[in-house]
Amino acid sequence: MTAAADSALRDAAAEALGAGGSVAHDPWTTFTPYPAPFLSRHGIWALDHESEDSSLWLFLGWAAGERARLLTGRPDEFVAMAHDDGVDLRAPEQAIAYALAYLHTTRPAAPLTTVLRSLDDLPAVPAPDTGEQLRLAALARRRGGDFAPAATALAGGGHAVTVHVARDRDLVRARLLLSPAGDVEVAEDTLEADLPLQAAGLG
Amino acid sequence: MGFDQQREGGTVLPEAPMQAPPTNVPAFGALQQGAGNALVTAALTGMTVARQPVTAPPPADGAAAPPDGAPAAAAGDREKIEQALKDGDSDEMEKVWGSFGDNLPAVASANLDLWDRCRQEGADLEELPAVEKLRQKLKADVIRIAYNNLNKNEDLVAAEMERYGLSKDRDVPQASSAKPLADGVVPKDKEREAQLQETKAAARFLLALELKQNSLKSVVVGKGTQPFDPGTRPVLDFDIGGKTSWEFVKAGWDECEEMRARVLALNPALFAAMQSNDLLGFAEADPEQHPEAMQQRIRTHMMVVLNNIKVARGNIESGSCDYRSLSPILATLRGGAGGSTVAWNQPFYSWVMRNDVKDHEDTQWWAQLGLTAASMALLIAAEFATFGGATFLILTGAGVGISAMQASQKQDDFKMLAAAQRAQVDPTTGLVLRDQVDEAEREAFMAKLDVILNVGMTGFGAGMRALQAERAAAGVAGHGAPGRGPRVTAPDEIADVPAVTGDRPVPAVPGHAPAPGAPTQPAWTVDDVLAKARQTGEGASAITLVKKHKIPIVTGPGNYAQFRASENTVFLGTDMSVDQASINFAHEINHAEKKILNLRPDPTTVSRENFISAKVAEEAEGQAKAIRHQFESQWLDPNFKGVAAGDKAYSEAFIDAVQKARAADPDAPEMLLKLRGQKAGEQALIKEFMEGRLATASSGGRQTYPEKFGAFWDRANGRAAATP
Repeated sequence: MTAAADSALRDAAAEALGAGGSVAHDPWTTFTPYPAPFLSRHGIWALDHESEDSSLWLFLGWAAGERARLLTGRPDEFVAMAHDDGVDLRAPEQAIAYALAYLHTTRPAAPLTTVLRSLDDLPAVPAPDTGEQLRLAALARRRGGDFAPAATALAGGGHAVTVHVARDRDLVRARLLLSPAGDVEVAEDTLEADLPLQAAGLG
Repeated sequence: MGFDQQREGGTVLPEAPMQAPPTNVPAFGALQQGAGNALVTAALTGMTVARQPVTAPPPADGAAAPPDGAPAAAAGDREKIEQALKDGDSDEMEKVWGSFGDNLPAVASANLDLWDRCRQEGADLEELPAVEKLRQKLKADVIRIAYNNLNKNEDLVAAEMERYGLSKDRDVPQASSAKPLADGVVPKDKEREAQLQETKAAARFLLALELKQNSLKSVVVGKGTQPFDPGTRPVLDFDIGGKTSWEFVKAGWDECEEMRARVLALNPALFAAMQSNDLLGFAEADPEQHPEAMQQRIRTHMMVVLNNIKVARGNIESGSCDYRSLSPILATLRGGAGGSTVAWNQPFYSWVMRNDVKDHEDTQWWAQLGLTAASMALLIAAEFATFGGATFLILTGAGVGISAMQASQKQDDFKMLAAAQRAQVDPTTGLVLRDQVDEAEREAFMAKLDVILNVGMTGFGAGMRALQAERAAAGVAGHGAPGRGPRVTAPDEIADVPAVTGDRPVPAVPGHAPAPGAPTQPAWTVDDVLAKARQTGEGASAITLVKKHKIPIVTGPGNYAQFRASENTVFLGTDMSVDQASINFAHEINHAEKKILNLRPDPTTVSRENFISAKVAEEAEGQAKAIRHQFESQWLDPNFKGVAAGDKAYSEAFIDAVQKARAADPDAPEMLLKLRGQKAGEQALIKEFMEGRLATASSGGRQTYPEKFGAFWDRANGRAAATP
């Protein structure tokens, strides 16, 4: 990214973050592009900021010359961005990428939300004790094969996408109904609770 | 404060109460050069406190007392001053005032109006020799009192060590080195054991007292129904039998402080332990099985006190600590105590004092003394054995976890010191009245506090019902009903009732201007978060800190919270629910407090490992506060939605610790069990953080807190390759 584009992105992010916007101009704040092949004009950017007191990880949608949108915690903004961009979700792969991006970039700061594509993505506690190892192994046996996202075409051109999500210590299955224009309806089931998974601290 | 204000309520001194210093303190520097510090100390420690009534001091050196104790300027002199004033001739004013010589204080005291007017007209009266002489007397008085206090406190600590059978020179032999009896049993000293049991009981009582006193902050007072704050009286309050609801609770608060002072005055070891946050160590000691361990603990704390005395004395000798910075001693003098021959509590002399020290009022004098803890400065402020009254708490911050001194630097905060110093001394013998607080009195006192709490927690009965009726008549809805526990203050009440405007810690900080695309109206405001927070003990404590340190709360788009150290602000994202925001508020204020009180490790001066440990401990402490706020909120409102991760680990550790402690000692008081539980809960959280079970998210993956703080340490020490 050019210096001018970086500067423009930081300005747009600062504006989107309102009173919290000064962090966008902090030299220790980085912006990393998030893959969004379903978008044509917009890009999705991950804002990372580390300080002694807090870690910020926020997502913003932005098209050069336009205002940025804060996506974290705001699924409606994600859909509005998709509408502005004119997405057209026809292929199942596109629908899956869209669903994963939707869940990943709009997840709140807490609880710790991890979108799973495979068993390897499961945020197990770093040093599980024996009992926890057994529980994780049982979980892998029981559900490990289910974690790959799957899409089913719906009559009328939309898709139903199933994605698994770790939300703090719970395993959640999310079913997203997507219209070709990017509208989303979500239904969730908590499959397992209180697993030996990482959770989010407040700091 | 102006001279006129000081004069309010004062009276003109009947005669010139000035006398030469009892020792040659102005020659202090020369003495020191010639004889060294030790000799100077010896010379100065010979000073004694003259306990003369301040209302009838002897006449000043060389200054003839005016006849009949009526020291007005002679009519001719007054006319001269008035003429000079009329002419606007400041030189002449100085000349006339100067002509009074040593009698100037008496003349000025009797003619304060003229003194003020001359100064207002430009006369430079501060430099007159008589005023300078008073300044020297002030310096002598302050240093004399400081040395007296240090010496007496040192003597007292030495006596206490002797009472416990301790030596300054060697540690206490531990059980393994004690000579066994023939049958292998280590000999016991029943008398010593009883003494240690009493100390243990006092420590337990102090801890219980602290918990009970803190719970007073949960009592809702005033018509604004805010939690009790001992430093802030509600603007609107209702009457309960001749007292306002705030006064009712405040009386209990003050009694707690006085009771604590009494207990600590009798137990210097516990005073020192409290400064080191080690009261629990005493409360859980085992004098029967391990008396030597408890004795060693006492000795350790006593030696810290002795060392502080030594350091303070050295810094006064060397001049590192300017006498004008010793606020509590100045306050003692201004309160009319301290045994000075000058009535520093009288308007003119008080003005001289203020004028002399005006540039030193905000100095952190305890830092100048080189003390390890601000509260140790009490050693110089007063005689240990006579600490008493509310001043003790002001000075030490005892019971609030941190030293209130850091926020109480103004001299006026010490104005009660004089009264406190007299509080427990027999006026006829000068002996300290060692009034033991026995078990019966302790129990009776706690029962008394329970009554206050019960009355407060049930909404002050008739008073609150009357308030309810008043509000109903005014058509104001949504107010807390009398009944169990604290009540919610409705947001509209905060906005409308002037009584609680003071509860807003800082002016609302802009931040609600919605960003493009953001919801146009945030679902809540800072006031809503404060209303949630003030329902619980932890939340109310956080609000107190916000008010005390004037921490701005900023709101804006986002569903995250953050303490911004560079700005000393706390950011709360309005995309969070108000319940969640109150959880994050309790957590982030902990970070703010650590930063403001400079309690955080410097990554450039501590090892990586120690930095991570300290930061994780801070994180866990904040998380524990948030969890306690969560639990209490859920108890009050089962629909409360805020969550702090780690709550399960905290809760399990808490319960486990309480059960074990109860099994080990079925008679353990509730407060000890609670402290045990809280400590265990926080330890469990530290483990959660250290093991990465609680993590922080980043686009690079999930990061553990040790990784995060380790990276921060690396960056601070130039070990990270990445630069912005």
